[in-house]
Amino acid sequence: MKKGDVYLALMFAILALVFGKLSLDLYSGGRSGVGASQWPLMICIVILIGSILVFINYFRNGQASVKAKGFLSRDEKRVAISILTLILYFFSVMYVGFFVSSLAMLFVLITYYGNFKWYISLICALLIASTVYFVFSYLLNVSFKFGVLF
Amino acid sequence: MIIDALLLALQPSVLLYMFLGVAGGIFIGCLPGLTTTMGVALVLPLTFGMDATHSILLLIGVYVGAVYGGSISAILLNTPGTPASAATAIDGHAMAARGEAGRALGISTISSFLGGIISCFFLILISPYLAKFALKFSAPEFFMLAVFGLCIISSISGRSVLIGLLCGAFGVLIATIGIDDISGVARFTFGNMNLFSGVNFIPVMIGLFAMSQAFVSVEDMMKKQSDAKKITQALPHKEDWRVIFKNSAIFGSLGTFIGSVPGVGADIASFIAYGQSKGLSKNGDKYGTGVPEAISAPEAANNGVTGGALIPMLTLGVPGDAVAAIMIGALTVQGLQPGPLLFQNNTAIVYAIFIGFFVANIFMVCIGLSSVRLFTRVLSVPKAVLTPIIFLLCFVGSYSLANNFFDVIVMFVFGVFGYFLKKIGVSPSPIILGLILGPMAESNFRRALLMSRGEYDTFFSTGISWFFFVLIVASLLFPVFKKLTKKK
Amino acid sequence: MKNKIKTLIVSSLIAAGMSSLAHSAENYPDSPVRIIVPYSAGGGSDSVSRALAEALKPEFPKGIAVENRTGGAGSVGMSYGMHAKPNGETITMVAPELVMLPHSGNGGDIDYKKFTPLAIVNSGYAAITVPADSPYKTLGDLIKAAKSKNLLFGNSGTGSIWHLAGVGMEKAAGVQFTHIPFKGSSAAITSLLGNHLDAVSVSYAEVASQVKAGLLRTLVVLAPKRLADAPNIPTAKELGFDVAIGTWRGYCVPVGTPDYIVNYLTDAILKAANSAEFKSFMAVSNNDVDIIGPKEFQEKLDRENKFYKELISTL
Repeated sequence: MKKGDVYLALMFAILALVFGKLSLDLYSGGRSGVGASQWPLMICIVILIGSILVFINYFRNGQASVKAKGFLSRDEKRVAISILTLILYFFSVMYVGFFVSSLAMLFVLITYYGNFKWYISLICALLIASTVYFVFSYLLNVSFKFGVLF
Repeated sequence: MIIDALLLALQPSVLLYMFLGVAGGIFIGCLPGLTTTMGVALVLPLTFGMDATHSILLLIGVYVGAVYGGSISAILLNTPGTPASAATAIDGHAMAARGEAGRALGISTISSFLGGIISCFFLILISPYLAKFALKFSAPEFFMLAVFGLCIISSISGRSVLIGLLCGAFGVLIATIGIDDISGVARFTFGNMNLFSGVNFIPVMIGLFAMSQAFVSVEDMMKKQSDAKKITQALPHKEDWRVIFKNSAIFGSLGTFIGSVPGVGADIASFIAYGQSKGLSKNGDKYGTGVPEAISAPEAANNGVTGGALIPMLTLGVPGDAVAAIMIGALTVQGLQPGPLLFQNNTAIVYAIFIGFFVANIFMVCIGLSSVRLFTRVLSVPKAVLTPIIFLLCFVGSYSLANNFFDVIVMFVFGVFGYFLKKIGVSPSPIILGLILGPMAESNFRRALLMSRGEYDTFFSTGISWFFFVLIVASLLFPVFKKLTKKK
Repeated sequence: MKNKIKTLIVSSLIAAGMSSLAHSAENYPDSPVRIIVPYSAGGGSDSVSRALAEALKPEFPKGIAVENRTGGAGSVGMSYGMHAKPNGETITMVAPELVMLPHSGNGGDIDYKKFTPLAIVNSGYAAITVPADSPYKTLGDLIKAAKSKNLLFGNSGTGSIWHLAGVGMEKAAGVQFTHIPFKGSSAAITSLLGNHLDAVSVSYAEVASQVKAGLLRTLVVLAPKRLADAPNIPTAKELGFDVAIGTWRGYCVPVGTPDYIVNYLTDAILKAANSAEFKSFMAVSNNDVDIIGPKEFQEKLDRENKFYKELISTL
């Protein structure tokens, strides 16, 4: 058992407790006897038992396998920054506009990940953004009406 | 009659439409987020101006192409384009990561083709019987089928079955969000309207597979791109052919059968095929490391479904899956009533559909094999460019499902969660399986009890239920048995 | 210099203001218009709306297109359309769910009073259908049997319009059925074909092909008058049960849309719905054209809102 498993089990267990509590408040009657609440309750119990088993396994087998390492490695930091960039991108799409934001996102990330000349990154970003915009908006009829710009 | 049908189906313009349909379907299937159903729905308005043959065969072309196309991105990028290829991604990508992308694509293409052809034969020869048999399925049988499907979790959960089961249960729990089918009560929606129809599993899948995979490649960005990307061959190895033929025969038939049961689709079929082939194969323990069986079985099964799904539509006029529902719409617009009368009144068009279905599969294998090199070219795109493209496609794909921003948020949350799972070495497939099968299990469990007025013996009242019960027990005991015999 | 710039800016502002005024009054469809369909692409609502959009094209030179926004039995899309800017660029397709969902607490924030109705183009009524080999030959047989035993009555989901149709029938006849909800009508019809149910209450259009093929038999339609494509099937009213429940597809704009836009759209939709191409599409796709103008549409909404409120409260 790895330490990550314990975090995962803990997460699931908390979720199961919350959902279990919520399903107790659900209307459970109906003409059949099996209402809306029994099934989720059952699943919550399964998850709880499973998580407890994970905890027991972990503590019985000892925690020796844990590698001591820094909070985030350099590679992981890059992922964290990407996630933040994408969150920013989502907001920008909503308030500024799809095409412009996508262009900016692509340009920023391509420049960040690769070491191309800036105009090459820009051309790549432009090409990709226009292709995706064209394919989805014109061929597949997806509406990209969000922000003030297009 | 056959001559009439041949004349209808083999008109040059029909062939051209079908070819374009298959190519377009492969393209749509490749893109994460654009599902088979969506692809067919997008093409539907174009068919309103055509005659019946052109219209239905174009849609069939898109259908066949899209179900196959999903496996290309699953193998190359570990990003299943459609849920039907989620099972293929497990071993397909493992093989591609070894540098054998061409081989993996070859296996998947040939298996898809054989699966499609087998289902075509079933469709032509025994569709009335299959349809009659499929009608025997009622709530208890569907429940048993769903539980049987959930047993597959043990074979797709990677290093720890316990964690796999937990993930599967998590998927089932997430699937209970939304308005309950049976009682009409809103569960766990927190008053948010976007949750009323539940968490859509397509964005979850895009997040767990595509987005998280893109994060992993961000992490590996500075590692040198392996040189193994040079494709040495675009066809399966010699020793693969036996495996392909065997698996395609078994799982193509299984897929056809599953497809003919209304309400059960290609996603479920491919997972069941993956799980069962693991039990049957000598290399069962090596599953997950890129074995040919594990690519061939789900691919044969999901293309087997395509023919199967047409069976209830043509024989009974009821859709076998969401795609068939759209095709029924397309036929009615043409003034044709799908169902038993279609065989009597429009025999030529029914045979034209059979022939067209056959031809579409041939187009699929031709396009597939001839462009393996083109597809694998994707791998030579620098990661620094490819990864942002995948981000963009994940975003656009999940948005375009319902033109709803909420799906994008779901996708993103599960993307981050999926990255965490990958970091700790947990497979996300059980979550998807739980999401797909959970609602089927629950609603049929409760529907069965409603129909039997609360008698639990309804679950053991028919032969089919017993059959599935035996399968469930067998698939649970088989690994234990295998372990015991190995120890000797 | 400064003055010049000032006058330039002022005059251009005035010009812009004028032109925007002119825009609104005369050339209303000055930008593409979209029809929000709250159900998925490829379904009945979607294809009817697309056919209507096709027939509307001549009136909208800048384009008119269907956009599917699905979720929550239609509440997501209807709510989206309700909150759209009232400038005539967004039309919403609505269905009886608009006045049903709020009463079962599953409608989110949708409220029919926040829509200005334009027109209804299509309606379809519930039918009670049994397998062809069923012992129940008439509605009377079915009701009689329901008094002594519990009949399994399939529908398209609890709280859906076809479930309410079944409930309306049992109320009118004073009996009780066991309602079996399915996910969508076709699943219920499939189960009926497999003889797992005694009857289903779904729309006639959805069972028409099986009825014509002799696999199923429709006993009664819950319509105000006999259906054009099924003149042999009696209505509930003829048999002495006062119940008529059905679905319809209408188009609305958000409240606050200027009158001239409302009038323009209403006229355009009424004209398109009467066009030959739309009518022939509806005929081949088993949909009944039923054109209702804005005033009656509003009355229908008020009436059905009250009706469903009562019916749902008895569930």
